[in-house]
Amino acid sequence: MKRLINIALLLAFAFVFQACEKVEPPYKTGIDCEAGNRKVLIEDYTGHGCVNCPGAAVTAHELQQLCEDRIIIMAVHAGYFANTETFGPEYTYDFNTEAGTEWNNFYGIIGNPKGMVNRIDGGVGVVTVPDKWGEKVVAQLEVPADIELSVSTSFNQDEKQLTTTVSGHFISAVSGKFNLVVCVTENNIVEPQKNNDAELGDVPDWLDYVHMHVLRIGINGAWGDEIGSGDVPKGLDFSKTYTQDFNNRDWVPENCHVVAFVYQDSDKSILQVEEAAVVE
Amino acid sequence: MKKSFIFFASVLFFALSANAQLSGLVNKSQVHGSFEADLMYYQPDEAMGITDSLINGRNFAFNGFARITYSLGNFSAGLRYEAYLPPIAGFDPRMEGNGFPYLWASYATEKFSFTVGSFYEQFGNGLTLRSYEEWTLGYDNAINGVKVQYEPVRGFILKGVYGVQRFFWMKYANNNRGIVKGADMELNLNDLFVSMSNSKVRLTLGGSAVSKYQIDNNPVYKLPRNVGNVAGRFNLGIGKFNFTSEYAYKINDPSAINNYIYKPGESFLFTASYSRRGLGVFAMFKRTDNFSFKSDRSEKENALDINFLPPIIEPHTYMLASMYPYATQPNGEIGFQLQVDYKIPKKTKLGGRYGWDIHINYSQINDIAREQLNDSTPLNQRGTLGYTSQFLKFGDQIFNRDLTIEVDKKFTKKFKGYFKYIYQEYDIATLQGHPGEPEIKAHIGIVDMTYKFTSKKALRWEAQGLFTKEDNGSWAAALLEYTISPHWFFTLSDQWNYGNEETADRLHYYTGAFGYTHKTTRLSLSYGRQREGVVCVGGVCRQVPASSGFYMTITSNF
Repeated sequence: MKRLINIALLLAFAFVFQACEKVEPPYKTGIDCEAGNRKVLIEDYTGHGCVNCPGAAVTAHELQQLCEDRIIIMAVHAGYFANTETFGPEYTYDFNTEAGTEWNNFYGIIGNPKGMVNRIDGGVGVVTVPDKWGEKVVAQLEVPADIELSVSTSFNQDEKQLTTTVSGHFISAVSGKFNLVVCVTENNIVEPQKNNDAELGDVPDWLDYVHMHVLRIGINGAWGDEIGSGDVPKGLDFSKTYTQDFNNRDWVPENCHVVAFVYQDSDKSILQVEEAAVVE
Repeated sequence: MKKSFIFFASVLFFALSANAQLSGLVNKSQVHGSFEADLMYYQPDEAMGITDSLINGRNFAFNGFARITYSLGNFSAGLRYEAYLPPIAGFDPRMEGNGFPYLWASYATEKFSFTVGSFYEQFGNGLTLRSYEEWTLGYDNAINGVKVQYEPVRGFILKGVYGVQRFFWMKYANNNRGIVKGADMELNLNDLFVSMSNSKVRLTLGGSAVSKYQIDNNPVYKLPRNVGNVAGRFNLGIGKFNFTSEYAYKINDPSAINNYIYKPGESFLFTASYSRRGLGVFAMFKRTDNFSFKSDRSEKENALDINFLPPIIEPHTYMLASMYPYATQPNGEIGFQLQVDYKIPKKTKLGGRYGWDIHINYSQINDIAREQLNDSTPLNQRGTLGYTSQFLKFGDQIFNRDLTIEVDKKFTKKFKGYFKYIYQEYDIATLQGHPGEPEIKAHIGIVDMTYKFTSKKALRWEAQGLFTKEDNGSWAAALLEYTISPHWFFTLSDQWNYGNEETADRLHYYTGAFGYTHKTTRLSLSYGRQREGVVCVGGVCRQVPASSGFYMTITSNF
């Protein structure tokens, strides 16, 4: 009997010893931004009534800091927490967009914060909580790109008119249907935001919250324009030009960016994304 | 002809023999099962803000399950079918779907047993491991893998588990969540040693170790792939006294719940009780520090919990008393509970003809005291050790206080009543995630009377009041229930938020229901309004949105 107990204790000790991993500081790590050549779009589905969303914005920002040139953020205000009538008199500013609401409904997003990384599944679902974004970002950064994208912009200050040209080039032969979506995002919008993290800002109403990367419009709709279908040969070039009127809108051109991405229609996964400032 | 006859006779013999064997097997086999179907029909209710567009065509919701167990001698196997089409409002939308999430087979002898497939298990109080299912919460963290149990001698039990936990309908693949492995040992000294078998001192010792493995693919932080959680426990009985305790320690486990801090976690439970005829005294102390333990470090909702942190608060079931239920705080809480149950004997001057039952319970739970690591690091900063905390020091923030005084009195053979007073202090900002809202201080009074007309017919009525200046203000509630045993019941109830500051929100939440029971099958149908709130079982909670409509439940078992 004693021997049995001793064996059990020995096994338990060995189990515990093997089953623990103490991490020593520094706790932060980094990633190889040179691996692969695909850029990554983090879509942060958010709302001004969502108390956990400032924390999610920090998560997205932290990830972007790792490879600033290869990670692009788009904050999509849609759904219940973007409602303008529910959260009190301070929360009347309407961040909703047609494209954002369309995507929110298409992906059945309930509750915020949620998000997508290049709209891939990655074994954990296309729409995930912020703490799953990092692993998808790492995986996507390592994937070779099938497409090169470039975005040029010109803004006519007199007519308040944006003209943007998105050019692309298929690096490898692919098959399927491919669409291009072009959006405008804006930084530095100061409007109230609900918050429950006192370390980040005022709780529960962060009245001078600075909203970043806010989706303003899908210039060519939620699902964009086709740029290739069937067996698309390596080397195929494409170019699309769009205009966007800034009149009668409270958008500040100097704070705005054009975000363009190409996705595969079959699973909606994003193959490449690019960003350029509206006013250089 | 002769050959044909021999062939025919042989076939008949084997057929009869097989049939006899089969018949023997069938006779020895046992099949048990249970079934439940909950159907909700939602209707718009303008006063409650429930519009057609909010319902969005999803007027029906359905939660259902069927559980079947087959056993033959030492062998048993079973399955559970579940359907959430779509889930009833307030249940996690990730539950939507249907299928067989729970399949298992088991073989058990007197000393050894093993289970493959899905299983539930608990080590000690659950501080290291508890997998369980709670239908009312929509909670299921079953482990899918292998479980073994070995009892080489009476009083010495070894258990081992290895598997992955259920995560709604998502199959385990490519490290999409962690792998759980654990072992538990328990020694019951009174069973183990003959010399102690009749002792007034009863002692059980136990220990468990559980580890999870999850891939580290976080680009920002270095994360431990293997996180261990170990615990030791005892249960000591000396005459009418009983003492139990468990202490658990967990190595660094940065997660979404604890804001990715690297501080080790610990949890401690201690209970003492005394019991004699007519008197029971119970005391409990608990401290939890950074002790969420999930098999996916990014999960923040009620899923994939490997362990369980027992609550130390009086559970309330009455309509208004359960309005502010306590949700266990895995990041840190310290508290105690004291309870006295006393029966004033019948046929005494004070007790009268039938006696009185008196129940008093007081519990208080605070945040743990936390101190900054240094002047430049804010409390609980990501990517640090988070904070320091003295073991027995109470933090200033009170999460919950509850004083319950209950008197049960039988007046006559046909008439009895329960009288309850509850005082609650409730940190709604922390416990329900409503930052900035003031602490609720509520006085609750409940009268629950039952009159039996005959041995089969009874009328029960409740009158309740919740008085507070905070949150939605004061409430009143009443209930009438008429029962014709063993088949029928009819109830009418109403909860009225008469103290709401907004006149338009002084709503009545009325419900009418009836039910019929036939043997082991029960059908109930109700119509009315469900107020927004929180439902908690064992400190695990889910939000319930306001709804209006019909609700039907059928349950059966065999």
